[in-house]
Amino acid sequence: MKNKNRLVSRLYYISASAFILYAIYFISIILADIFMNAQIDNFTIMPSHLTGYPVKADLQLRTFDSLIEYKGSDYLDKTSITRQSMGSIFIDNGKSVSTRKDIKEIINDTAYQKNIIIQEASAYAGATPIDDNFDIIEVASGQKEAIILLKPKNAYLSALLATRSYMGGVCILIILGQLARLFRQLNTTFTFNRSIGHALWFIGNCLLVYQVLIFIFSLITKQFIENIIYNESVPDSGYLSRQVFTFRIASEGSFTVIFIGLSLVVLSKLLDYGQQLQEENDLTV
Amino acid sequence: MPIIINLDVMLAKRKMRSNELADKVGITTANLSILKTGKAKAIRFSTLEAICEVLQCQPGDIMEYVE
Repeated sequence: MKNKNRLVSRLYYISASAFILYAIYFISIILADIFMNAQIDNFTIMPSHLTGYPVKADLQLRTFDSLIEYKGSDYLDKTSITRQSMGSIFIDNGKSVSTRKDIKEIINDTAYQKNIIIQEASAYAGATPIDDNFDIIEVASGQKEAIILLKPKNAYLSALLATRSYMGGVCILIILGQLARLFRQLNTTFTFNRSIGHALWFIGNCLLVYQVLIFIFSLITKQFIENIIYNESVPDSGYLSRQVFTFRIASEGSFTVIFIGLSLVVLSKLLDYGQQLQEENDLTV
Repeated sequence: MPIIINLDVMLAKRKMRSNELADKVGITTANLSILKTGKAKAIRFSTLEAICEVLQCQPGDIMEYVE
């Protein structure tokens, strides 16, 4: 690379090296998936109609440490569900003061009629339990991201998900090709050049179009499927089933990627202007 | 382009070659060629001054405006 500025040259070689390493990594995971059936980073080029189309969903999780139904003299025939805290539960006995009972008393007391489901969580460092290092480890209820696999029977939804699924890979290949062209051009001449601006313009628009399309596709997908609900119930307890997991199909699209795409398009226009000034300077005697 | 460069005429009058002029003016023969062929978009005053000094002429002798 011809440039008098050492810092610029070094930055170029570092970014070119990083790009080559990423390209090698990308090719490796494709080859591993094809020849060794080993998926890296959950990437697979197996036809999605066999494995299921990945769809982003928001996960709402609500769990209970313990679920106890019992009827006893302290309980007044009323169902009570409480959170287990430090091995004890609070009993709502209809009086103004709640009674705190150790859960082991209830488990071992034959006077109580009970169905108990206890969901225990224990933390380990390797094989060593580390519960002593923490007061209470709780599951945060709230929304998290999850990926679910859909195998739709509807032909339209299948076609839509197939297009969306392979569109991402095509987009990555196009961007990698443009970046390779960009680095090759910079290696030849480190000046303002029409092809450099054009490459950035192409990458920026590719990102914008991709984000808009997957947003539209996710909206259409939600018309076919919106929620997946997992319930938990206590057998023979008379309890209604309790909603524990809810997968809600998410609207896809990233504002960050849209911002990057727009920035690249603006940068390409700036480089085009720079190229005009360069040309004018080159033709100034 | 409306501005025509008549450098060849002045070179012939002064019996000077292009590379000799370029050398005396301090520009490359490639840049002088750009100027002669009318591809130049701009010329610096310092370059114009040097050319006029070497060829002993006025700027109007080497540049002409045509509509």
